[in-house]
Amino acid sequence: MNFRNVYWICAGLVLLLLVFDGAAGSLLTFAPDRGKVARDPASGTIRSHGTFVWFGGGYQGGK
Amino acid sequence: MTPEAPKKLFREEAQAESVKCASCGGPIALHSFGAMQRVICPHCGSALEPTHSGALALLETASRKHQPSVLPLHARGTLEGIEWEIIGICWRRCVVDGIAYPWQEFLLFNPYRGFRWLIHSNSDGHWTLGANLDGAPEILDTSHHTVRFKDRRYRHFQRANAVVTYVEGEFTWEVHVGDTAEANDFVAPPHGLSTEQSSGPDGAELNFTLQQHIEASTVWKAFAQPGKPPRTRGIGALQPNPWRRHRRQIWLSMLVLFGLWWVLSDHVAASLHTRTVLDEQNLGFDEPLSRTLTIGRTGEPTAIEFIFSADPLDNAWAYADVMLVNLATEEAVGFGVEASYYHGVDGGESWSEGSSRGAVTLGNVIGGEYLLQLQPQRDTSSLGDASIFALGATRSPTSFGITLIEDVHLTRYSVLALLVILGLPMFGSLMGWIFERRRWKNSDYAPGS
Repeated sequence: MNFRNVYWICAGLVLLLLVFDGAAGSLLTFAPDRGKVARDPASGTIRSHGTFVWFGGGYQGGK
Repeated sequence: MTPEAPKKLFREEAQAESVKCASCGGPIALHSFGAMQRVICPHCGSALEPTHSGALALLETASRKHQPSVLPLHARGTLEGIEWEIIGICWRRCVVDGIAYPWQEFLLFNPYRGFRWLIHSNSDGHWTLGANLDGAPEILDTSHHTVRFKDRRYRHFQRANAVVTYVEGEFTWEVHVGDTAEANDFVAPPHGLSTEQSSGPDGAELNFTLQQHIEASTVWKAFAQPGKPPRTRGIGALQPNPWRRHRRQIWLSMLVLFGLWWVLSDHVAASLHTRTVLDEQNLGFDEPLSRTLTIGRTGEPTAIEFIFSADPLDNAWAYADVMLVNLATEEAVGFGVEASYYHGVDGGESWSEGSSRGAVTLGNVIGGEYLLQLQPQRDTSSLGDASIFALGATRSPTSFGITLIEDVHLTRYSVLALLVILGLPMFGSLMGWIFERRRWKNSDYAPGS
């Protein structure tokens, strides 16, 4: 494949990305943990166990 | 009455004549009819020339051994749709700065098309196909020695004294081992023009040859040679520059694509409805935070930016574990965001890193009702410390703030597109320039010489 075709394909792809994902930002943004949470039927509160586990407090940052 | 045989549309293929060498008796096949001026026996190297009667007369006896060439004598191959036969092989070489650069020239013949030259450079493995010029080039008055032929300009590439080192087969001129000619090569890749000037007893002779690059694999396939052709090294003098093949189209495309990028970027920016969904400051670190909020338009994906700031923050850190739960689907996203700021003096030089503000951008967040849960954490090392106002001291944060913005403008998409649209043609130009620099490195005009 020659360089001209490579250029046209790459330019086409990035313009399509701009048009179709420029607003929603699915591909060029931070990918967080995603999962399902369950609601406690008695209290109506969100429970973090199930498929999504929110550990919290895991940060050990700083210098 | 016997029916007449049907008339033939074409005459029979020309038959090659076979004679014996007057010196060694080896068989010699002749193909070039009346154009032949000199025959060199492929077996012993003796020179023969045609007499008026058509018979070959021994001109010079030799007893050299046959040497194999890259392509054999009498091999047939189809190049550019025409079948050619190798009827003569001539090895030549030139010496530049004490280094010999040999090449092999194959005289191709087709009874309907005449003669062509197939040239193989032993030093770099590249091939060219040449034909006699039907005219003479015009010398242009330019700083770089340039000639023009049929609207194409050829730049002078190199000058060398070419010496014949080995010959075999038929030739259309009187060739001898040791013949010397001054050769000047001009290039306009993939085309080239070569001039050769030689002096003999009949005076000076000037020959022009128009050449064209030909791929080694094409030659090998055309002449049905086994295995692979000799490996090519470096850039051939007439090798086409792949980076400049569609240069004009690429730069024109760039202008069109840039205009398209401008319109599309503007359209995407105009379609956004950027709004601050949540903005709370001076929040305490003591308890987790929980808020219910509406993000975007229900069911439609949006990009959000979550900003976390801490105050005061001096050689300290703050962090938040955040979870956003879509109340309709119970799908959750979890992420962490950090704010940290450090500074000091090291070896007499001051330095700093980080910021009192951290941000995370999330894409593809489906619009709807959300529950925001946030667990703040902080550096507590200086809480209650009396020396917090000393220079370079640590100041732990006492409060934090959060801001959540929906439909944020993600400039990275526009920037990426712009980089590709403008950057690739520039990259191609750079590579084309490097390619040409490597080509001219082998010329009389080598960069830096």
